[in-house]
Amino acid sequence: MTIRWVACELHTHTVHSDASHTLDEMATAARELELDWIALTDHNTVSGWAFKEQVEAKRGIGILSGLEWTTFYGHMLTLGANVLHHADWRFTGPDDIDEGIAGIHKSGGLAGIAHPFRIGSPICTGCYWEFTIGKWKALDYIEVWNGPSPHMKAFNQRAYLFWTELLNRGLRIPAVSGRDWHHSLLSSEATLAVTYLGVHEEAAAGYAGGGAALESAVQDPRKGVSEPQLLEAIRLGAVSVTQGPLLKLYARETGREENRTFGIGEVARVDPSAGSRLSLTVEADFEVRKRQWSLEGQELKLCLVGSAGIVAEWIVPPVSAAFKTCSDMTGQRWIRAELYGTMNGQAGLLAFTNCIYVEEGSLTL
Amino acid sequence: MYSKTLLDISSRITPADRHVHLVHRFLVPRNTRQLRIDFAYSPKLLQDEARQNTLVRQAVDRYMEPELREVAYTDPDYLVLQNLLTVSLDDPAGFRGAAHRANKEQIIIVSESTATPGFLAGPLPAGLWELTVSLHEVVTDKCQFELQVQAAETEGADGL
Ligand SMILES: [Zn+2]
Ligand SMILES: [Zn+2]
Repeated sequence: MTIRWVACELHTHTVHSDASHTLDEMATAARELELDWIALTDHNTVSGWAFKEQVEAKRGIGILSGLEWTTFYGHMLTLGANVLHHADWRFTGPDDIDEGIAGIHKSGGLAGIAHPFRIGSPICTGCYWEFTIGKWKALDYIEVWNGPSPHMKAFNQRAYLFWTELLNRGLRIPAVSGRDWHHSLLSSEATLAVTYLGVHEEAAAGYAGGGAALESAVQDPRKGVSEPQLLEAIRLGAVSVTQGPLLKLYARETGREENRTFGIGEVARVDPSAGSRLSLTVEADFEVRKRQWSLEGQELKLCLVGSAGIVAEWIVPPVSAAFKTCSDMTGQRWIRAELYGTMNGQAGLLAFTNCIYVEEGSLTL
Repeated sequence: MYSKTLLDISSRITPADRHVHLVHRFLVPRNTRQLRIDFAYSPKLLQDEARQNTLVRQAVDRYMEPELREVAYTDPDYLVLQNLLTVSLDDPAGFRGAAHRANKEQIIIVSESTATPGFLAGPLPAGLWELTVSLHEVVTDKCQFELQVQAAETEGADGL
């Protein structure tokens, strides 16, 4: 099982709402940032989608269809479908969000909360999430990092803690980043987070056949990946978010004859009564998007964190490496990897994976 | 060029109206080739400093954690409060676009072949259309908006 990690920007705006750049200008800048795909999520409209294919072909980048439901009571990102026929934000009151999400699903789209704790009205209208959610399970994802240099913002730290709380309550909800990209200019100090979505290599079209297929895929702006595959990766939580190196996480059951490897987003079963444990591997890939960031000369802290506390910690140099540990996972409902270091002169969380969920019990029922 | 005015309205709103949607349902006649919407509102910015400080304080207290509030009360990024009214358009079959942007004066054109960014080009079916003004934010005591819709006819349509 090989996973291909696709570098995505999941929250952008253009002149079709309140941003200053066109889709073409943004796609050009996105290519320079070594992104594979960007999601077009203009406020309350889909009119920008008409230029999607043309810009994809011209700029060599995949474009996901989306929009940002920009309401009085919260901002919700939708991906994958024109949801406006079944889900009209103008008819959605503060207690009606469950119907709104159902309408988004009926349209075939995903629904994710954007920047839940950004300051709200009248400073930033509707930016703070104030909808009452009845069915948390219906939500497809939550944007825990919003804007450039996300680790420096208090509202993102709060969103990250909130995500952790949801996980601890047993909700298996994916977490992503979004630049909330409004103009192509960027101050040189800012760092950008990227959401990597994991697509099974065999499912990625055009790559299985070796040389010739690879060549055609290089010319394919969508890099052999389809929109439904990326949506499925979000749905499954095959997600790794970073401002620099890409973190991957694997769990393998030990003490059993047939052991399989679980990846990010999957549910691993352990049976402590049968003496089974999880062998855990964190890989840090420092070769991705190398022109965009630097952590040279730093010692970084890599953590394996679970619902019941820290599983392992390593102080690591900024080079690609894999780290292994073994745990019986007692009391852990989920685990994820986190990387800490300094960017823009501020220490903090620089990268995190989504979870591998843990269930106790034997696999064969 | 525009031979018919389909809607011409002026409304005064107050902070009590924030989070209200004002729906204007109007008739688009047969043989309409192009619609032009003129939308303008004023004032845009809240100039009253005392009121501004009060509103920022309330927002900070409501949305931020206690230890961050003191700095936030005087955050220059927060001290520009403005009204935000947006326009969206629906034809008899559904959504035709929205202008979610801060401009206080906007001209929106929709026709079969072109449309202002935010709006969907396409046939302009006759029937009841809706123009919704969504009052995202009203921070000034009074705010006035003007909304006008004009139609241009298909050439030669009269000669039937
Ligand atoms: Zn937003
Ligand atoms: Zn946004």
